[in-house]
Amino acid sequence: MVGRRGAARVIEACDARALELGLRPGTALADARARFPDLAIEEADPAGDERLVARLAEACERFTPMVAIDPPHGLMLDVTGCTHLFGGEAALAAEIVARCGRSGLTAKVALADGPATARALVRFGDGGIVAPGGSEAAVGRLPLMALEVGEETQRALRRAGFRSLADLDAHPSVLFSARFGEATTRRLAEILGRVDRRITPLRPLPDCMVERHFPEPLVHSPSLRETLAHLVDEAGEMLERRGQGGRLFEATFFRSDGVVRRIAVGTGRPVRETAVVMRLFDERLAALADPLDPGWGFDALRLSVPAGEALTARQPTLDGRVNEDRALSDLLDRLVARFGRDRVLRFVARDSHWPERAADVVSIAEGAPREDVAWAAPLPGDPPARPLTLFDPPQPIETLSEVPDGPPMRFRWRRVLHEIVRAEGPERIAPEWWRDGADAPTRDYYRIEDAAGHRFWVFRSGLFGEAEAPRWFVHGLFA
Amino acid sequence: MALHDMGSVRRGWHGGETLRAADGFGLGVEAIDERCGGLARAAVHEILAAGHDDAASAAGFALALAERATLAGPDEGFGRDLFGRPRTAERGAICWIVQDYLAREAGALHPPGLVGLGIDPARVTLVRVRDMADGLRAADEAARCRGLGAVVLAMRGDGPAGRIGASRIGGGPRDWDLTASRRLALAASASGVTLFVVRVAAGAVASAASSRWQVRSAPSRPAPANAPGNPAFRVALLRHASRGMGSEWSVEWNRAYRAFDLVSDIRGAASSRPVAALPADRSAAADLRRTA
Repeated sequence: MVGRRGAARVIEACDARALELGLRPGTALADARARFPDLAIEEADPAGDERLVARLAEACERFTPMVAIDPPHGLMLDVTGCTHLFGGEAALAAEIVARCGRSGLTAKVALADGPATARALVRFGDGGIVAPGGSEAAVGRLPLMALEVGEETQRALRRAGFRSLADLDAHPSVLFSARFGEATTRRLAEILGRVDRRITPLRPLPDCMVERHFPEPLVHSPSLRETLAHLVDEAGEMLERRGQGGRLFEATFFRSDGVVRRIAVGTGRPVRETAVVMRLFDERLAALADPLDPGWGFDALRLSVPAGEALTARQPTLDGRVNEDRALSDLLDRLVARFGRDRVLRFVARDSHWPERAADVVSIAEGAPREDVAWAAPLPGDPPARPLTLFDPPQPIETLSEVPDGPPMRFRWRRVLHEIVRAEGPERIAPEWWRDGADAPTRDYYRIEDAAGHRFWVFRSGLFGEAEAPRWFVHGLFA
Repeated sequence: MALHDMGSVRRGWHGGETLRAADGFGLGVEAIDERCGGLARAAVHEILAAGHDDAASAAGFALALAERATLAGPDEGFGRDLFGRPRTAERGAICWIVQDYLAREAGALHPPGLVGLGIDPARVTLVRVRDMADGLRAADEAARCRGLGAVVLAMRGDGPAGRIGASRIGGGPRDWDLTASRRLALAASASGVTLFVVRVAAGAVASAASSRWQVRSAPSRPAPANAPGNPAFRVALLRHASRGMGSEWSVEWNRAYRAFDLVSDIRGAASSRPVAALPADRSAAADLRRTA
């Protein structure tokens, strides 16, 4: 793989054969070509590499939810407490190497007490598994480079006569930090396993998580659903013990070839009943645009509840109103699961007199409404001032024989000519100059009715004298 | 209280809903409600728009009926106040399900317009569906929910299943048919939700609907200075479980009373209306043959 460093093209990475022949990353391409004229080269693609590492990180979530990226080209997994699920540390390491091998990647694995130790071993040593508490012994033979401090400090250390990390350890630390800096001492302590450091996983750890690993890849859909139902049961029990319910349930399906698929359902109120949650999952799975493809089977299934909320059993009032509210909330959850958040909406009033902005639709999943703006109440006794339906955008019409500054006498819309018998207006609505700009045209709105009894809300855009030729639109229809 | 609102005054003197059916509601007009015996709650009612451009009217009529259906239920005797205005409690939310194509053609529901009809937009949940099959599925779900008051499903065309907004030519599978309507009716009767199905550019089809209405826009009773007045409809009862079929009425929606007024009842109506008031029991068969 060839990349550019400064003006020269240098080798970024070589395969095993190239390494055997003596080529190293950092060699100038020209030199390499001189020695091996028929060298096969590929342009380095750092972005593509990052994407690959991200995909691998996702695939590694099957081992533990705490996965972080260890640049460059590395992953850090915190497997505290999970190794027994995979048959022990050695088996886990072997499986990781085997999986990567199946994808055509060579992986090197190191397992240690702390992340810094593992990183040092894998990059500057031979990898391997370190027994608990054996960090010092394991890293002793690593070269100074493993500290990963700056060039200067490294040179200073070498000049001082240190060759490996074991040498550094022998030295009393107070003088050490005075001479070579705090950072170096801290790095050393981390690598030797004396300081505990946690990784920051890519995805936050959920409140409640249950999973099942299958001994053989599972393809059969009903069994998959049954397993999911069991997991929801278990999660429900966990939540119950804490007196909590969940509002978001995420099912992660791990395919044997490394592909990870996540399906999440949300509810308006905290729930933990299996039936309710499974109903939502059924709706969501049935409505998936891209159906769940098992490929060669699923290896594992994980259900997580990112955040638990207090769930108190409410006493139903005498008229059973609580149950009705719950039934309505459940219905809305099912509709959202089936059709998507953007298709189940409620109306909110906005503080704007411009018709397109006076009202808005908001997904029902957005949460409790802010009761700030109230709907403008019409004057009692007056007919409706606003149409029942609104066109977005307003539809242009041709008006004929209009009196200037007055409502149209007739207009043509969608190839139909309408004769106007009643009209009211103009209601002048000036644009919000702070949003639309100072040049936006003023609109004069008219409520008009044609001979057949259809009622329209039309407007003239631009006042006479303001615009060249004012244009007319129909904006909405009355009942 | 304006002097010409005689219909409302008469209603008030009668002191109570004209309809005392066990679980029904009416339009609020004596003549109509007595003639057809009222409309059933927990049932399906079909509302056909007479023409393509009557979609907004049909929707308005359906929403007005939904508002009436979710007024005080039969076992909550709220009675009326001195001026004949019903003392009511609202009962249940309204779920408005609309097909995307219809929203593009006739406009999207505008909440200030709902306020103009006397309906609180906070009670309305909007569900946008891609096609009729999805619409029926959503209506099915909603019809099973006890916490809901009314569902209005607005669709365009007949099916065939899968073709969005198309009118049928010749035979073929429909989305809206006896089976679909029966399923909705069963769900509604179990849960108590009243369903209104608005069909635009669609023909009458055998269905399990408790009543079927055809709605078209009608000239309104003008407000001062020849302004368009309250929403006015010409409604024809095409089918009803008990009686009243074949009748047509001109009605106007009264926002304050949340009820309809029969237009021919009103004295002093402006003579500029080109259509004369029709007697209540005139046969609508001739009219139906004229509609496309």
